[in-house]
Amino acid sequence: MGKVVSVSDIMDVNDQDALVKMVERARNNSIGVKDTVRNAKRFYVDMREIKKLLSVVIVSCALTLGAVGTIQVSQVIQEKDTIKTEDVTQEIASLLYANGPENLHGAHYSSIVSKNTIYNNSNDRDNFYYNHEGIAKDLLKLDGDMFDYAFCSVCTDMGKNINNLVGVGGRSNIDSVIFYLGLYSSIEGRANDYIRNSFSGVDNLNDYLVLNNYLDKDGEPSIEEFKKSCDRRAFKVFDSIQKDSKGANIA
Amino acid sequence: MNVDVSVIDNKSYIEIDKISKNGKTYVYLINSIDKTDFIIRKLVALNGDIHYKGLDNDKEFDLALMYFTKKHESILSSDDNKE
Repeated sequence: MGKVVSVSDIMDVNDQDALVKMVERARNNSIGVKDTVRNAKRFYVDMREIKKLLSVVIVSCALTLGAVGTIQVSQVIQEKDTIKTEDVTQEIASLLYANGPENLHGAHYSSIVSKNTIYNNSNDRDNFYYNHEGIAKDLLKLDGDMFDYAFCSVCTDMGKNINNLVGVGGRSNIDSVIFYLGLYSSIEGRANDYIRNSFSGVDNLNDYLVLNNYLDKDGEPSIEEFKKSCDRRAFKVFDSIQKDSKGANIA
Repeated sequence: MNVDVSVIDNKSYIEIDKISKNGKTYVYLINSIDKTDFIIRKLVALNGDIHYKGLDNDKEFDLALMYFTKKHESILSSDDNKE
């Protein structure tokens, strides 16, 4: 787990001279230097730390290029310290697929759905299907709140395709994932009690939402209420991810 | 999140971003201990290895900075960030 640094550990972000000096130092250390072999190793680092570093560098670069204008630098940094749903989803994917393959651009899978999306033709990004069994197996590697969050993200990431009736036995995409969750949950050792109980007697999304009390004001099952519940737990999930990660402290 | 960390001149650097433009890939690195130590390199393939190559001149450095700032300009121009 990476050490969490505060912005003040980096520099005073309102000190524009210091920010500009940072870029000038970068200039001196980047031009005409000797070649070195890239010996990169992968480490797990708190995303908030990376975002703070990114923000400082971006603001420094923008100041150097004269592009900042009236922006309040400290506000920029503070904004990047919030946790968004997609951040947590990416953290979970990063945890699951630490050694997973990269795509042609070197990017790692950003979500469980992206890992389990199969394209029929590499030139046609609209022609794809989901590996429901793969999604279920990946979800079963997670615990408690992290499982809930990841399952909610799967629902979100499927978007308008969530109810397409293309799955096993004519089920919808999400109900096919639930089918496999139920199947593998019933196999000893493949799921913990939390997941086994969450999907006991459940074979479709509506049943899951009702069983877990994700209902709107009219008492109807609601994905939105499921999302709201997960968003309220975002920080808790984020901390769980860091506790579960095996990365080294690089700071 | 998982990041790539490399040792350059006996110092550990975190790769915070990569940008490919016009056949060149620029990588933006920050020292994992001294967070004010920021450098830019080009990635080049040589004899089966990937190398960090220094930038050629001030013009290329400014260009690499511009790519980086342009890529992340939404952070700078967002109305949410203005008073």
